[in-house]
Amino acid sequence: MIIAILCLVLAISVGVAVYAGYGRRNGGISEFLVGGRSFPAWLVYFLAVGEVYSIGTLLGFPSGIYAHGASYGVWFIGYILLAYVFGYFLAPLVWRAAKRYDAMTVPDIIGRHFSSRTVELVTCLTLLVGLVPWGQYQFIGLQVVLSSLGVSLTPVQAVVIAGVLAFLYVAVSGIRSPAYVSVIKDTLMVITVAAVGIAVLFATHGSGATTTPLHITPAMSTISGSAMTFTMTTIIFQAFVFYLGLGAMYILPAKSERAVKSSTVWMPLYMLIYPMLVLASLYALQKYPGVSNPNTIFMVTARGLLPDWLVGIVASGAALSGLLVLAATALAIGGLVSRNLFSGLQPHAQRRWSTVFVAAFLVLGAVLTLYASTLMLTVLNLFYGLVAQIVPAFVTVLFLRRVPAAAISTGMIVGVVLSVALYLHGPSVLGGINSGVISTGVNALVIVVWRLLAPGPEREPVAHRTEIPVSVTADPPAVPAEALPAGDPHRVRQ
Amino acid sequence: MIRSWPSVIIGFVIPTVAILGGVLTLGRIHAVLFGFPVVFLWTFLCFPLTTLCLWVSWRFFDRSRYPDEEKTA
Repeated sequence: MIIAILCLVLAISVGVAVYAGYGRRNGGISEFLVGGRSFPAWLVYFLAVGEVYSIGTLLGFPSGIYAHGASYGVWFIGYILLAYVFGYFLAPLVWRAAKRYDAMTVPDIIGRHFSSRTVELVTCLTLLVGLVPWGQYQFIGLQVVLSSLGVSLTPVQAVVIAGVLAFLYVAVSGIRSPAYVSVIKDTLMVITVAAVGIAVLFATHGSGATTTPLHITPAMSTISGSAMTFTMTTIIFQAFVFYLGLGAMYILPAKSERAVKSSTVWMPLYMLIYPMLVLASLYALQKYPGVSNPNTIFMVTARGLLPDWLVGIVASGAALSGLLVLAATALAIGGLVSRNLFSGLQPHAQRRWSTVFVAAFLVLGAVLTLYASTLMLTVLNLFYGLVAQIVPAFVTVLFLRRVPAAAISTGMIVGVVLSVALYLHGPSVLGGINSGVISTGVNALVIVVWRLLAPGPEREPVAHRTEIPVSVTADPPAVPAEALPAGDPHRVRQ
Repeated sequence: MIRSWPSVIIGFVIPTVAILGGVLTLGRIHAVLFGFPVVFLWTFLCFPLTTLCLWVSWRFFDRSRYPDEEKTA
């Protein structure tokens, strides 16, 4: 029954992906990567929540509370919520920057603002180093879901199925597939979490076979000392990185600043699934102490409380959440490689090459999942610290004048090196402060000092533009070709 | 750059203070309300509070400043 429901949902999702791309197969690279910059507010909403609430929310969040207590759950919830507050003000500016430079990736924006191929390359490589393990993490999550259901698939079969489905989503319609399939995934996710949460309520408050109330210890309910320092610094740091480091994937396809801003207003309400997830985590702590792999704890709880058909729904929601993020991350990587890493590809060939690079990443991710999971999970722990290194550059693009391109590249490289060094040194030397705060702070300091000692040429910050642009048609070039510097590598790549 | 200070105070300052201040003060207290540790319960209450603040900022201070693409088409 579980397998039948899972297969049915996955088949429907592929059908929706095909529908999403109907009549748009020849839409070019803009259609492929950013949906022709045409998504209305409701589609931006679903794409954003589809990307944010990944398999990590269903598997990683409960397992984090299970293993580390309240501090893990509070920073996880706190940073996403605070990110929406920041995003309401910053996300429209990110869209404006992309519109101004006719950009489809973050390195497009930063590279074109500084008219520098070096800045573009450094930004691209920084993002790739962070995104490859993030995409591969989704593979591992999918493996956990399938194995905890007792599905008789070998690891090879599981990752091959995941890779093929993710490729299908992307190949048929680019970014539109994750957006449309998100509607199914989010419906299932809400049903999934509500079903487990309600079952826990019944089990702990008198209507199920078990009637023992949850016993919550001080270790599970309080945050103190260095854990509080870590929680507060992580909430602020990751909230800031959320839109300026990772948000481009769901901001750039929007059709206007208005669509971006208005969709952000309602995003915190999706977080109402978290009380049920916390409840499930606290229940699992008492019901299933000492589980060897905490990542399986949500699925173990679901199997213990729900009938088979409902477990099938839970598995479908979890699997789709992993597949969607895998597909969107693969698409982002494909775009980074085809547009920013290799500069010689002609515009008409970029969509075809992006699809090739998506396939290459999925094969690489599958192989790494099978043979180097531990190594990649280690790299994943650096994910936010690495991606955060583009934030000072983005802040400069939005708000600052006369910052030299060399300062941006140098700051980013110093930040990446420091992130790795601090990670290897361990958190003990920082008194609980999130190491990303230190590395990103030093990156920013390099830029500020360089700017003070040797100011660069005047560049108008994106946020200083007084008129708010409207995108009614798809992508007219925002910067006339003659306005670009003579040596700008993007002159021939529009 | 900042177009409306009331929007910033309602949409940014209030939710930020609520989230960070709540975690900082309630995180140290061992108390359970409605089955949840009090620090979790506070963050849950911040979900609707944040949406309410952002909605007020959007509806009363920001919406008129952002062109409606349907009307300008």
